[in-house]
Amino acid sequence: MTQPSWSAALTGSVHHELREHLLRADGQEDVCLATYRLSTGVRRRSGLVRETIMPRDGDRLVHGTASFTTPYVLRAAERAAADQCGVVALHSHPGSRGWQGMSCADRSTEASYANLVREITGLPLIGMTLAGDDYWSARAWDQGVGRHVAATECENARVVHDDRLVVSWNDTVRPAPTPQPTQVRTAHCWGDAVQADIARLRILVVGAGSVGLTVAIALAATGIEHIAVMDHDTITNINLDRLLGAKPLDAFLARSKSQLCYRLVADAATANNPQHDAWEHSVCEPAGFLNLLDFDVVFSCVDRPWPRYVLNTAAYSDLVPVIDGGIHVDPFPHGGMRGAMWRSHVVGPGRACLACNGQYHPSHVALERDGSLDDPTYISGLPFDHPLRVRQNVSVLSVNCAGALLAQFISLVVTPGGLGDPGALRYQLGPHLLQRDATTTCIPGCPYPANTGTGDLRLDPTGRHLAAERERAARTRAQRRPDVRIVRAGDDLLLSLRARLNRRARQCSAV
Amino acid sequence: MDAVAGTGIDAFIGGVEAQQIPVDRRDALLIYRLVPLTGAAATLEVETGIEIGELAGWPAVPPHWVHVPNSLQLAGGGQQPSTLDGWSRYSRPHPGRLDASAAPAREWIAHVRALLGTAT
Repeated sequence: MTQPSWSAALTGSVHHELREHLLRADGQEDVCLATYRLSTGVRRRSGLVRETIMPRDGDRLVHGTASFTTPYVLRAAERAAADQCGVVALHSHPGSRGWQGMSCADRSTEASYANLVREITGLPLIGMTLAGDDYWSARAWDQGVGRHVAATECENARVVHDDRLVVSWNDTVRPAPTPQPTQVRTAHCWGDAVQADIARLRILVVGAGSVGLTVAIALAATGIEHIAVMDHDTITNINLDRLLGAKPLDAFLARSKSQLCYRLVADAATANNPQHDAWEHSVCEPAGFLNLLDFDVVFSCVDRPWPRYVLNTAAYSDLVPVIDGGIHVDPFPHGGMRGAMWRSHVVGPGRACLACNGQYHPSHVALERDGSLDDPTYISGLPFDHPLRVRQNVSVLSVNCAGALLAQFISLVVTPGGLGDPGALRYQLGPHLLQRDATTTCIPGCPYPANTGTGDLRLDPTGRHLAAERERAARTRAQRRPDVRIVRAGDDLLLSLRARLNRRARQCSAV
Repeated sequence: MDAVAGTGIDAFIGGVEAQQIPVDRRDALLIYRLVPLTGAAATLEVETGIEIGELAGWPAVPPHWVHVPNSLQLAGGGQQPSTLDGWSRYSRPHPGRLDASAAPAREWIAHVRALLGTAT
């Protein structure tokens, strides 16, 4: 099994507090300690920096370089242990830029406390360095025991600000992708450095319906290396008017939406080294949620309350920004269209959560968990226009919703003109009006902001998802039919040949 | 507030019991007794229940169903059989958001007491 990678994440407010202390006006290096919680995914562990523990008089030695005293480290470790946290040892390199390697003195200092801290807290010491250009670097001292300890370098360090995501990259662990001739026009939009940064983001698209599919394909064409899609649903004839690229054959073969999305993303990819995943479970299932924790950004292309609750939880507890949106088409009962509206917003620390900005009602989560939303008797008892009953959507409009989500993504990670994500936006189709949502913060007492950075100690939002299990079982049964198996073998062969030709064409164009 | 401090089933039970209302477990339900101030059952102690399975996300995810004995009928429909014999469950979510930083169980109890006031 591959060794899990590491990442570090912190909110903008924690970043500013640390920056204020570490980047001194006199240009001198400085140190401090903080606590962190672990957020454990399938392939990546993230240290979520929670609380700074600033040094008191005599807690550190500043002498050109800077170092911690043992009582300071012990105080921090005891506080961290009491809060079920680990310890982060932070120092600055004010005169340097970019991802910082460790000097002999840095290595020796962190190594000397790594074992002690792990003994007290049960978690590896995380070391972080802040360069003068606000670039973070990080490593986890998770190898060895006693004096023979070693650090695993993090692949990145993520700062989730109120309006943007700033990621520092470790070029050794996650190298900048080689620019491709197919990406020339894209790179011209924001330059090679930005292209290299966004192409390395690990992006998960939850929901491979009309919106999610379009989002995933656009990301692949933009050159994002690691895109994953998650959806437990099966393609049926009723989906073909909205799933761009889906064929009647896909419905006949009972292919899953995530399989279709995987295929189209692979076709559209311009990255030299694409790494795509497709999962056929729900994000509400424990396995789905664990996979989510490996990602830097998540697109929420779902319309049910339970997955929205799960994503809302992760946005705060695990510091994974979630770009959410939805579309509402409003038909007249006897034909004609009253209007349509699509909205987009980013959720995470410093922003209104999905419950507070009205994207789901918390009590509907319990209703979905107990299966009532998949119970025709319950649904038929709801009023005609009840939000849980309304499912209208149309392809020519859902691409606008996908576009709105992608625009939020660009604002979040590229910050055009220095401006981050704009907050919640909604577009009214009738008058063609773009409106800002008045709700910009959570209501008093909202539990999500209070759980920022709780990591693995979050309240588990997942559970057994009977509807997803039934859907997968039905798909398996449908795929076992003899006629389906024969046709599928032929289609798989054609798809495989087509994929091979595509790869060959890509290689030729690269030459 | 920390995630592990005021959440889940234990937090709900603790919150209700903090109001001097004992909570019992009966099959898959937590049962507690309230005295409605209005309606057919006014001034009477009435048993009401909540599904344990609905409390995993308390208070971020409040329960949806309110269980009452069949001797009471709540106004407004939305009735289904309860998992408990001789009881029904009613689709009666709390209409707003519970304040997780204060006393969400108190808000929930006030909601249920008001519902029981509509009983016939």
